[in-house]
Amino acid sequence: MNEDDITADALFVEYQRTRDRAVRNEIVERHTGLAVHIANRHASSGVPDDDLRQVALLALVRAVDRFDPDRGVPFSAFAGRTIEGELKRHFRDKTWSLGVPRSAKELYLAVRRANEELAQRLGRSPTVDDVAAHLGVSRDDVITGLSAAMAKSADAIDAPTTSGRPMARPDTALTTTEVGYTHVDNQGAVAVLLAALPERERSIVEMRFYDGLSQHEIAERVGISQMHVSRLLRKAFDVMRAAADADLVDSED
Amino acid sequence: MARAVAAALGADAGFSIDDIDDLRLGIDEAISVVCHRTTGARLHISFERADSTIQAIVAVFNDGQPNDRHPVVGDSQLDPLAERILGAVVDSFTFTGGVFTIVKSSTSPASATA
Repeated sequence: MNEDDITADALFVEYQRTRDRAVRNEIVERHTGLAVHIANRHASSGVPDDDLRQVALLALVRAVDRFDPDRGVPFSAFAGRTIEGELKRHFRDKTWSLGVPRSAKELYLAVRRANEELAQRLGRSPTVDDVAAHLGVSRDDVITGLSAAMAKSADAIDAPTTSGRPMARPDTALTTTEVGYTHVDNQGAVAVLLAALPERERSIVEMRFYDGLSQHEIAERVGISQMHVSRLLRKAFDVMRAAADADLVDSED
Repeated sequence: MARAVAAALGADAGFSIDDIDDLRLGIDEAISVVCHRTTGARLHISFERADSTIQAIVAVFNDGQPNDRHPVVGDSQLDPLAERILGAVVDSFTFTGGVFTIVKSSTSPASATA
């Protein structure tokens, strides 16, 4: 460990203890050179240097905030990774208008973003051609992006939701609720299936089923993106379908 | 695969992203219903587009010789969950003789001219 790192360690111990902005500033100033160096390495990509420098410096500040000296990793290494990561995110987020993204994943990200921007601007869900024109890509590229969105949304249905609560596992939670129905044979059964969903998923499905709202309208009302609504709906449908089918099998035994 | 086809046809029909996703949700539901109600060998999905309307047909076929293939008729009772889901995401649907037919039109003002 070199001398700089040792000094930095002492500063970090003090910063952890006091959370003093002056100490943080001191650390940031000591490592400005590192941030600028990394920013300059990315500068040939056609984006003005100042922008990159700003992204790198903000990443540096974030790295100081998050750094844990007890981990035994030198700060310079940790900060370098953080800055690299932020710069990559910056390129991914800001430069679609410059370079046409080609990989399915990039197209997915571009389509998702364009979908949100256009939905807001148009006040309705955009068409595929709207998105294609906005991004300057072909209709096929948008379709590729949409298909990637589908692949991405195929999470395990018991994966944790963003609300922090795991979706009920269809083979356990729902079928052991013992609500006394053997077949999804009346409207009340749909209500039972709905009731087993986490609250947010349930309210979204209800808006779709009973209020006849479109995904775009639900997204606006709940304050999330249409694609997020789509994912939550799909997961909710899967969970309800699995519960209904599991129950059907049970009743045939 | 069916989803990618649905997206491609939806694009040609001038569907919005919403419409496409709804169509896919409907097809998913139809597939899970026919697969669960019947015991066949081949999942058959076909699409037809007329201007801004798409019709999808989903059925499970038996594993006979090419000239002896037909949809497997299973339990044709549609449960209320399927009715709810399909009623919400597509314009109309029927389920008779093991064959699911779903129809969806573009809700977008800028519908297809093709």
